[in-house]
This record gives sequence, structure tokens and C-alpha cells, in this order.
Amino acid sequence: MSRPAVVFPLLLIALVACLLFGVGLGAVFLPPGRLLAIVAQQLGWWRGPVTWPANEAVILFQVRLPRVVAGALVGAALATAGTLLQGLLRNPLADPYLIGVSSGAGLGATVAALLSPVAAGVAGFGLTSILAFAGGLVTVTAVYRLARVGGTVPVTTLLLAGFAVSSLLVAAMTLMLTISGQLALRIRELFAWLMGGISVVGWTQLAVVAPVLLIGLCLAWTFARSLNAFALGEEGAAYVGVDVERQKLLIVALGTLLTGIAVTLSGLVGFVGLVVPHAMRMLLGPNHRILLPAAALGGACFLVLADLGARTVLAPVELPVGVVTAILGVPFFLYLLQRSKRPHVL
Amino acid sequence: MCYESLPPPLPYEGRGASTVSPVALPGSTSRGRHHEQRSSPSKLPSLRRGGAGGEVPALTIETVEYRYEAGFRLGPISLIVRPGEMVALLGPNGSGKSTLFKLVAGALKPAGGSVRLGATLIRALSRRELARRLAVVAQDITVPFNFTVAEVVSFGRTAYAPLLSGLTSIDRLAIERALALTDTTRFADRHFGTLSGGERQRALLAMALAQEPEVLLLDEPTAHLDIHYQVEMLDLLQQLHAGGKLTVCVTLHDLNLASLYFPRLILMAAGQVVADGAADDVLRPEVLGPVFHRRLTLLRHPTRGVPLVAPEPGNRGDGQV
Repeated sequence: MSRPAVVFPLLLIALVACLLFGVGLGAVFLPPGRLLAIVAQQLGWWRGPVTWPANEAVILFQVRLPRVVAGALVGAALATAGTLLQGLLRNPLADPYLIGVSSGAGLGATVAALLSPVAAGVAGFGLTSILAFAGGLVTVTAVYRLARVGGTVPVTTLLLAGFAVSSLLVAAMTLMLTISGQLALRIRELFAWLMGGISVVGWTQLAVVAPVLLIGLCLAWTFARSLNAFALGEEGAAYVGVDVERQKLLIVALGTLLTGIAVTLSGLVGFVGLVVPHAMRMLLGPNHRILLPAAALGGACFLVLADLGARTVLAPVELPVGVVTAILGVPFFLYLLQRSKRPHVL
Repeated sequence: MCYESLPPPLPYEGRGASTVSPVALPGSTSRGRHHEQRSSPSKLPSLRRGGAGGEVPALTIETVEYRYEAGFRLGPISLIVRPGEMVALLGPNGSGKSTLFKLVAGALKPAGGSVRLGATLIRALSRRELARRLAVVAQDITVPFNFTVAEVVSFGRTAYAPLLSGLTSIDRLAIERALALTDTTRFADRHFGTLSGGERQRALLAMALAQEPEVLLLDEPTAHLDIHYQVEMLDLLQQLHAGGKLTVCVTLHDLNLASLYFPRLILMAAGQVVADGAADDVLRPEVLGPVFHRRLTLLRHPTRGVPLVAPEPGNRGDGQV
């Protein structure tokens, strides 16, 4: 059997397992049987006696399930966006954060915190999300234009421009935090947002974001063959029939949108977009027709687990999920690096 | 067996129009900016008639011009390449052959004039349409990540892919055929990055053939290859070309390989075509001297009879032999 034929079912099983863990574990333990019973009862299929406390249904439907679904979607979106950018830029170190999504979104969130007098604005789906989303988009657009040299966007230039613009925006953000008394009061909230966290997701947010993200994930797959051809470089890709400028713009736009939307749910979760595509590439090879769906599944598993870790390891204290992704992701990444026998072809 | 198709060597003094392909150079003459020698345009057929009577040329380059910011300008150049021709584009570094190559490949847009593929203006074709008819083996292609040779060859089918589908059975046939033609089937599953220079070049040729083109352009196909792989590569091109309608155009630095393998040589200097014809017409001391600014000696290949060029060390020559 081919490798994908083995790995895809395993990834699907892993995702189901991660979702069950994510929904079942926490301050209140909900065993799988209980989960089924609660769902069945909610759907009206369960006629028997209710043997569990009433709050368990609330925990499941109002707290855990939206959070786990959001985690899966965000993980899939970030990993897919990372795969898109790594493929386009022919560089396994690329990810939408590196070209300015994170700093732009961070600045947007800071501005939102400054403008909005409502405390919930920082973590909710209000002004913060909108400004973070807009900030990420605007920043990537600026970086992309700044990196253009004579009709092409060389990788190093793009990463350097991303780094430079990001530094500037982070400085602007720090300046705002330093001089604004209003922001100083909300620095913890803001910091939590910047480190990532999926704590306050509700169904209303998901209803808006989930369809968009799912469509984005499917759209990403339509770029698989263009991304493969981009391995030849931009000129080489053009020679085999890729409309390079158009595809490049669409791929960067889609990667940025996926990341920007994910950020509205989770704040700035790092490392998923970098480590998951790379890990999947080591397992399954670089063909994007296989890599893109694999990265989406892997990213979903990874972030659901990371979020589970974030809320259970030091419970009742909740860790920023970005901290957990790094703590889980780095050793795994280094293990993969060590294990592969051939030197990595950048 | 392929050498039989080469034209017989001309008498050394013979200076007429090419025996292989009479070619028009009206652009370079009408503006009076051409090099002094060669390009005897009066004997040549007019562009409109497209070389041979009634036949649509594979490539028609019509008063094409290009300007770089630094002031270098190319053209105007006019050339016709007939279907099934095998052409080598020669010239010193900076002569404009890479620029002309890219103009024909559609990677650069001409500042004036036009390039036709068959009867169609290439600027009227989308990249996708163009890639189905014209394939390019560019120089110094590297492939990141661990793509296999078969995967790289499959990139040649990009222009045939509907939006969502994977490789169709037609794609797979074309890929298998391209691998077989270039004798790369046995390392189809190896990673492209682990290939030697010669193997890599053949794999890229296979990718281009998977596009099933009418015209194949290769930019310095023998660059960085040792003599074994140089000969292997050009033998392969000649085999692919033999009997078929595939038109092959390459840029080449090696004048001797050009002489041995290509019935038609086009020599460029300072953004102009300065000679166009068979090896015996182009590889002449009074042609090469002013172009390469070296004292060059012409020899005869002992078995093939074609002219070969040997440099004279140490002398910055004026072109005299």
C-alpha cells in the first residue's frame, strides 16, 4: 500500500481521538459513553433516565465543543496557510506570520484595545478580531509590495521585508502600550491574545468563521498543482503553464486570509504553520495534492491537543496555547530533523 | 546514425546563403544598425511568405526589440524557424541570446515587434496555452523539497490539468513516454536533488517532453556537464528530433558542439544577429573574430568534416587566423 493510503486513515482516526479527548477531558471528566448519551439526549434520541448532572450538557455544548471545533479549524487553517507559503516560496521556513500577519494583527488588536472601551472587545469577536484581521492583511500587502524586485519577489527579500516591517509594527505596538494609560490597564488581556488562546469562542463566532475556513481549506487544494510547479521557481513554473503572478497573488491572499481568520478565533498561535507542514512533508513527501489535506488534518489534531494541554496541565490556570504548541512542537520537530537521514534540501 | 542527417561540409571558402535554411533578416538591415558583415538579406525570401512556400513557420520572430534599463538594447531582430529545424543560438556573454531566448519563451515582453508560434502571436496565448505548444528547459533549475523525478516530470502536465483533478491516464502515459524517451525511467523514483548534473538535465528534458510541445527551447543544455554528458544530451536531442516534427532551439556556448550537432547556427553579438546559416557559413574567422575578440583557428573534424574552432592562448586577437 502506498504511504498516503496508510497515513490518511491514521490521521482521520487521530483527529477523531483528539476531538474526543478534547471534549472529554478537563476539570470535569466526560467519558466517551457519557458524551454519546448527552448528545443523544440533546438530539431527542435518548428516552432513558438522565444519570448525569445537568451542567455536564452545558459544559459539553456551550464550553468544550465550540472550543474543540474552533481549535481544529484554527489548526487546520494555520497548517494549510503554512503549507501554501512554504510551497510558494520554496522555503520550509516560510509561514504567514513571518511575512507580517502576526505583527499586523497584533497592532490591530492593540489599536482595538485602545479604541474600544468595552473589555470584552479584546478577546471577543468584535473590534479586536476585525482590526487584527485587517492589520494582518494590510501588513502582508505592504510587505509583498516592498519585497518586489524587478518583477519578482525573491524569498530572502520577502522574509527580510517581513522581518523589517514586523519589527517596526512591534515597536509601534510597544510604544502605544508604553504611553497609553488605558492600554496599561488591559495589558494582560492583550498579552493573552498575543500568545494565543481559544478560550472564549462561542457558536455565534463559529457560525460565521467555520464555513469561510472550510471553503478556504477546499480552495487551497485547488492550488496543489500550481504549488508543485512553483518548485521549479517562478520562471520554471511559467514555462509549464502556470500564470505565475496571478497564482502567487491568489496563494498569498488565501494564506493570509486563512491565517487572518484563524487569528480572529485564537489570537496569535505560533508554530503550527511552521512545524505541521514540515512534519507532514517528511512523512508523506512534498506533493501538495497529498500534503495540503494531510497538513490540514495534522494541524487540527495538533492544535486540539495543544489546547487540551493549555487548559489541563496547570489547571485551573490556563496556559497560552502558543506556549504549548512550542513546547509540544519543538521537540517533535527536532526529533523529525534528527531522524531523517538525508540532509534537508532547502 | 544521426550524423547522416547533417549537411555535407561546404567548401571552406563557400560564403553563400545557408544550405539548410535560407533565413530573412530584414529587421537588422532595414534600420541599418546591423554589423557590417554577413546577413546578406537581398538573397533571402521575404518574411511574409514564411520561408518555404506556403508552410507556416514554427517560430516567426518579426522585428523584435527589447531594452534593458542599463541601456543595452536588443534587435530589431527578425528570424524564421521552420517546423522540425534544429537551431543553435550562439554568441558571447551579453550578446543578447538569453534575452532573445526569453522573448521567444514568453518570459519577456518585447518592446517592439512580435513573436509567433505557428500562426499565433504568443502574446495572444495564455501561459497555459503556450505551455502546451512550447516547452522550455531553463538553466540552473533547482527543485526544493524531496520531489521525485517522476513528480518533477509530472509538472510538465500542469498545463493540461483541470482545476481539481490529479493526473489522468493520458497524463501518466505522457509522463511514462517522456521518461522512456530520455532514458530516465530507471531513476523515476529517486529524489531529484540526488541526481547528477547530467541526470538532472535529462529529467528536466523529460519534463519538457511531457508537455508534448511543437517547439522545444533549451537554455544552455550542456552547461556544467562534462564531455560525456554533453554528448549524451545532444545525442538525445538529435534522436528526439530525428524524423519528427519537433522544432528544437538551444542556446549554446560551445561552438564545436554547435557545429557537430546543429544544421543551423545563429550567431549574435551586441543584441543583433550577425550570422545565420550552416556551420560552414557561421564558424568563419572573419565572422567569429570581431564577435569574440580572440584569435581563433579553424580546424576540420577528422571524421565528420564540420568546422571546429580552437582558441589561440594569450592573444587578444583581431579575428585573423
